[in-house]
Amino acid sequence: MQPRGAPRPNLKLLKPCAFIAYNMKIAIMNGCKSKMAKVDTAETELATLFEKAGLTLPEDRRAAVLHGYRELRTMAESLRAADLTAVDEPSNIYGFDPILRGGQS
Amino acid sequence: MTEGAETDLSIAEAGAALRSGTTTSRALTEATLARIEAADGALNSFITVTGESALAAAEAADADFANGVDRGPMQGIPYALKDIYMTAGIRTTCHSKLLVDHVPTEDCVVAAKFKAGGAVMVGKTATHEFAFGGPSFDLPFPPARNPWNLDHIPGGSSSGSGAAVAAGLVRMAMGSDTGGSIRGPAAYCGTVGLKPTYGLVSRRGIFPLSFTLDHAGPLSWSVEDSALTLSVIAGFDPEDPASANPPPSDYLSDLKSGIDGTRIAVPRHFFEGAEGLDDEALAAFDAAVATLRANGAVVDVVTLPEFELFNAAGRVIILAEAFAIHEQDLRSRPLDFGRLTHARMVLGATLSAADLTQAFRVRRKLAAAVNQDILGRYDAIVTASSLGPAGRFDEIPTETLPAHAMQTMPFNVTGNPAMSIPTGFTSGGLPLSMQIVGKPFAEADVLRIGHAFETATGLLHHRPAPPLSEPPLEARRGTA
Repeated sequence: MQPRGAPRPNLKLLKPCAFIAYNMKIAIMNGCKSKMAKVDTAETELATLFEKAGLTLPEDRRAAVLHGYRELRTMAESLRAADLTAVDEPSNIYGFDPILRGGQS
Repeated sequence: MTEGAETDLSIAEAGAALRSGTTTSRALTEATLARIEAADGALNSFITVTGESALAAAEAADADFANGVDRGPMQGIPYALKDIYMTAGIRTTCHSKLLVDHVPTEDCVVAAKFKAGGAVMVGKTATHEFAFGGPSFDLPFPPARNPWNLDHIPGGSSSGSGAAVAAGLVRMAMGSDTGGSIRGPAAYCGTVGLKPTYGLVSRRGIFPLSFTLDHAGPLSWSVEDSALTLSVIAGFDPEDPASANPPPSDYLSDLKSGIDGTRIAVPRHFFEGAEGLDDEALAAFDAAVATLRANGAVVDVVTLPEFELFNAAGRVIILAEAFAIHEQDLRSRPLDFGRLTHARMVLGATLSAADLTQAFRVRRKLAAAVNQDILGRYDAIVTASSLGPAGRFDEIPTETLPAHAMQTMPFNVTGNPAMSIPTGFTSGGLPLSMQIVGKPFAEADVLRIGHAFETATGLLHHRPAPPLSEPPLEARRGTA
């Protein structure tokens, strides 16, 4: 939430890095309470990543891609939460036998 | 042979008729082309129909039969290829504007094997764009429709193959399966769809979607027809980096030996309680399990890692690998992709190296859970192919990552053989299905269980009435 009295720039005109800085500033002004975690930076992240990848995103596809991006981040984070051990690593992942690593009965 | 009889024969039956001289490949091919002409204007299952070259191949097959030359079970049999399989001299579009005029100079390995085996390729079937984005109406060709109800999707991405086989236009059409693209259309169209073990069938010359998840396999009327097809296309290819070289398998000798004592594991938690699970689909699945038990199988409920973990690993890998393949075109000509394809593929640009590495780490763990923990104790896993029947075209979700209606991704992640087979129909007449999953390279077990179920239920003989064409097919006739 924007604190009372804080100047609000035109977000559409901000470059991605400036947008992130603005969101961080707002979070700090809010006292870095739980609201900081709720700041949705997905749109800014997406714009930054697209710029880095040299991609353009037509305006009429922005909402759909943003929706997909949020879902994909949730999926990727769920993989980080998986219970993995040292043997769960991707060496020789392109061969079927190494994937199984002796798993055939 | 009576009118229409040629198109009603399975591959096994047609092969027997060809060898006994009661029909010819030319008669089979003419009947196939006539059926395509009559029905495909409504189905849109073919992008290119290769009538002229098909008739030439049929005459060559008949000449071989006459001279006592037998090239195997597909000799003289009309079939179709998904339009991501490269075919020499015949356009291969991937259902995309980007490749709309693309005519390869060489056959993919699978097409070459069929050609060497005397099979008759009658055309190239519709797909989701690059086996990924669809169904879409903003591509150079219309999306295929479900022959059980034209208002419903046929599933994808091997959508045309599913529709063509279900409607009886061909007995078998090849598909590809990266997250369920063979088993999905098979489930929605009521056909058999076999995704063989990763590496069993060469992918060389098939346009890739995701290198480490892509599989090639058949959609067919019957389990036996999938077994016959697999016997032609399986085999080591030193030029396919993923190709495996297991001992040769016989997919037919035990096909009809039944399932008495076969141990089957059912991970009900994959779908039970899942959002969107259809009551009729669940009832049909339970009835299917009861049928397996009644035929002697020992069925236990088991626990695997959460379905969502399989799905997340698969999605991350597909998006990363698909983006790597299409990166240059996505940068330089994004508007030449269909809207849905573009919106999905560009997501790969947002993944980090750590995201992909983590997905591969999880993948290995999931493969061990399936193969060591479960298939170390059971002969097969049986689960739903999808949470319900095919949806309507006008209810297609607009989000970029499709809802998890398909239950197929786990076995792309693990690479196990998996086959979708019909289990019945909804009250509205749409097909329902289950999938049978086997140990690596144990396709013979999967096929045996499927054949026993198919025989017990008689669903093989339940087919849709062929729709009648509306627009002419001239625009889709190929160059060959």
